[in-house]
Amino acid sequence: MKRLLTLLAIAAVLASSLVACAPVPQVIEKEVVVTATPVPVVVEKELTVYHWWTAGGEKQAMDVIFKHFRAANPDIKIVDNPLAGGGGITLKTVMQGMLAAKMPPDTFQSLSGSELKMYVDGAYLDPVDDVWAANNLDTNYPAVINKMVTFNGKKYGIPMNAHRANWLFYNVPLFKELGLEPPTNVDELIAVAKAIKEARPEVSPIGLGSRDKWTAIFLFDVVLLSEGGPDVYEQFYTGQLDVETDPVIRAAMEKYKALIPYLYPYHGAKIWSDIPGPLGEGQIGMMVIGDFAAAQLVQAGYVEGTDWEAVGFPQEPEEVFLMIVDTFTRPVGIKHPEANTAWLNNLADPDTQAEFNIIKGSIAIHKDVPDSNYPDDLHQRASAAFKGKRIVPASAHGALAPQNFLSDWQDILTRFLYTGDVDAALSQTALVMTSYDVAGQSEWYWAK
Amino acid sequence: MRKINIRKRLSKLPLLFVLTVAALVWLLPMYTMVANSLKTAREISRAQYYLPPRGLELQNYVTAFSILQQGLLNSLLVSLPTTLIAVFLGSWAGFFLSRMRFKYSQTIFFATTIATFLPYQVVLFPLTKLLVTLHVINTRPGLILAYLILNTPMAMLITATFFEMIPVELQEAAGLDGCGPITFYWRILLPVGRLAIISTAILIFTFVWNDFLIAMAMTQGPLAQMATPVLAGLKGNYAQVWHIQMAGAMITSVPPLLIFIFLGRYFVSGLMAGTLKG
Amino acid sequence: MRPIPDMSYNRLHILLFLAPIFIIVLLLYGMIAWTMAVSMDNWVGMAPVWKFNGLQNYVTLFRMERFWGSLRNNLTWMVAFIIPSAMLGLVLAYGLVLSGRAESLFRPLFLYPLALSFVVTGTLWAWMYDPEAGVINNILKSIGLGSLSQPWIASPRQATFCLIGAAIWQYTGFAMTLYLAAIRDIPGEIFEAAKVDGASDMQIFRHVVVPNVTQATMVTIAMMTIFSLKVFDLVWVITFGGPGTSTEVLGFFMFVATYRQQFVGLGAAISVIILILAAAVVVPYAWWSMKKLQT
Repeated sequence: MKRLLTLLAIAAVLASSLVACAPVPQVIEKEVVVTATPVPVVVEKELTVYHWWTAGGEKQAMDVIFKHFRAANPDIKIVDNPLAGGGGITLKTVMQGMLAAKMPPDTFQSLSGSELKMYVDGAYLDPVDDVWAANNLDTNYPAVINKMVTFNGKKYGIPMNAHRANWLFYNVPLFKELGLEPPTNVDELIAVAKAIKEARPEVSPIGLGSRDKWTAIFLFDVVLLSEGGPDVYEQFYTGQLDVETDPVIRAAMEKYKALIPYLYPYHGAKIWSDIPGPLGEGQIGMMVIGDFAAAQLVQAGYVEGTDWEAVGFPQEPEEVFLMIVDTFTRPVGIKHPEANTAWLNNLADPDTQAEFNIIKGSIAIHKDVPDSNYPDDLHQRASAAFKGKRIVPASAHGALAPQNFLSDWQDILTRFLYTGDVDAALSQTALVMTSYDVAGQSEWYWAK
Repeated sequence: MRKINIRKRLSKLPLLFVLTVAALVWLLPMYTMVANSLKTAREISRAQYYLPPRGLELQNYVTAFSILQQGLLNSLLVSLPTTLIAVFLGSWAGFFLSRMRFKYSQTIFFATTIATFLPYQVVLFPLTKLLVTLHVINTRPGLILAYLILNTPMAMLITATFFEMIPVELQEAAGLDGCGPITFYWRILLPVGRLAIISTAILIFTFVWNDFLIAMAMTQGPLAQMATPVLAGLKGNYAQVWHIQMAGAMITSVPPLLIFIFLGRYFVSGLMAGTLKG
Repeated sequence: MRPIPDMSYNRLHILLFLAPIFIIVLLLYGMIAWTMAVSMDNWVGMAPVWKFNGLQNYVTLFRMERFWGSLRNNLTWMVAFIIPSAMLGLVLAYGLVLSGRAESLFRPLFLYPLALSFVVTGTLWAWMYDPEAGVINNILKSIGLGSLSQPWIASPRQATFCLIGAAIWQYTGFAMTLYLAAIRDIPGEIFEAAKVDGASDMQIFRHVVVPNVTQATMVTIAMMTIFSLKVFDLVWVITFGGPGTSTEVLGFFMFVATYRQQFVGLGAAISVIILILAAAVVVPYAWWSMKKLQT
């Protein structure tokens, strides 16, 4: 009897919760097209896209991709699902939840490298070798890109743009007035910062917005590249070094510490996009950040060359292209595989990439897009660097180093900016590297 | 007699002064939010934040609203059904526990109280997994389900606290007339316990509308995301646009503030009952 | 609880009325148990990994500086948040009682923040505290007290207290309301007697009000302790745990560990710590309110 009662109770609640929820899905079906294909007879062609390009210019850039896609596939309807919050912490969780619940979107955005690997490891993605081969990307894309989407011998994503993370932006009038040259390595950076501080105490020599903690990584990365060069950089972020004893890492950390007195004092309360404004005004002297800051400066009315300028940094010992790559995927079990294929093909198309990247403020990956494609000097130089210099995957955001390590790493660095305790930072980093097995997680990078 | 009154009033002046100063401090954040939500970007950049706006830059509200629009709609489509169902299920059980002689009332009451007051974090991840298992992650029904699980126990406690106060005679009379529990709930308790129902509903609506943790952990993108995460994203993404942020914060606050202004009495009584002080 | 014997019900009624809440509460307890189980499990990544790990997650946790930092911040919250808001709430409540008819004017002015979302409060106070553009520093400058301006949320030392300040602003009204009700419950004769004896308002406050509102104090402290343990939104919106990790609390740490780093087992262990701390308050409180309703 008791058991029967329990069963009844469960049934009652299930029934009541079904009734309770019933009206809502109907509302959704009417409004949103995601669930609007319940009738298998009329297969409406559509494509659900999850991406995080929501900020001002990014949205227009996405519209370019849509435009090209529609031109080639007039019968496919795009269901656009932009995720505000710049690829925040929860995006990946919710996305993985949806993938685990077998409700995948037809395609979604990821970063090439270790983030993409996370989805591959979860067996949530199908390979895209067909698209890769059809567009001959082995020859049209640089070899590094190839490496960053290849896992277990298969390709799992189609990248379509690259941001350069290692730009040093600076205020031109300030540099002219003080007769300064843009620094080429970290020692010069410190010297220039010192000169600014001495001549103009009210100016913050180096801008930073460490409330977004990853910006602290951006700054450290250029210091590390300057001290150790790209090989050490790649080894460090893939767990190949003994952090506690390695002299180069220690030297880099010491140099990073030497920057602290020259940083904008309230960096802990600001985000990166708070900085370009004051930099254009000359209240901040320099800033290490990706090319996306250029769009902000231009938008705010500051002129490249007159108000601000940017140089690849460091130039010594070797100037590299520190790269962040946006990628789109093919989830397992999607409803519209043809639409997905069409979408990925469109992304690999040099014409789409050319037009898209001008607005997005990044550069195209396809080698057929010429440097002259870009109207501004900065991106022409970025494009040239992409073709001419060594390309190194940026650590930030999980392209090179694994996500779980990065989370702790950015905490270690932001704390360090207040304590300046080199020994503590190195031992904490070493501990995290070993306990999270960064070397093991990064094996893919060194796989042949 | 009148003299005493006047002296009494005069003696209150220092007190009233102190209270006024305190109230002004309490209003300052609200004032700056309203004032700066109506300023132009140029005015904002001049940093005279405590000054009232020169004009009424309503365009800020249009901009903020266009960003928050879908989030507000989602908030409404999640908060309202959650409130209705939670209050119904809660008062349904709350009635039985508070008005019927039932051996395990105490136990259930005790267990529910604990479940009500435990921090959400303790069940956050299993709740995420539950929504994944039921294939409703990142959907409005999923959010409703999550909020129902978290808020129905509270609805039960609050209504039970209120129902305690309904006179015994009412139920005795109904019982003598042969009225069973179900009829009593619908015909007599609901109308008589209006205060309880409204107070509980208001409180739960406000809680759900204002929640951030669940909304953020379980949804992404405009299809299901509520207004609070969108507002938080507005802060994270758009630097130096304080006026838009302030307008967005104002818009998001409108429903709970309206409730507070017009139904403040219920809000307070619900809150008090919510502490089980009742 | 005063159950009425006259209204008869049968087993079906029990089922009908109590099954929904029973299932929901059971589900909640089930999820708590699940969290406990996961906390003893070496689960990394989104897909379930059932690998029994004993108390290893707790050992790892107790060795992490970050855990102790978060815990310390939670304790700071308890002290620096609860005491001022409770005291301020009591003083305001008594002030309102004394103010007579002005009460209805003043009361909502202290209470309205309670209706706001923490996200709104956070957005608002992030601006109050901004070291350059912020309202507080600008007001200080404009009244000639510029030397008192502070880095506020840009300083690892001050940031947690800034967050607490915002919470005090939002929650004092809550304590005030509880105390108002409690003062109203004090029998009028006691006040009368004190007044006849010539006691001043201050003396009445000290000798009549304070000793007679202990129950309200208990409720306030219990509620605010729970709040201090689960605080998350304000941290997220205003400082995001920074500068560095200086404002991280257990709730925030748990979120980052579980959702960003996908150390699900570790995150569950933090949840269990939060659970134990909260249970120390919630269980006696639930017991107490159950007993109180019984009489």
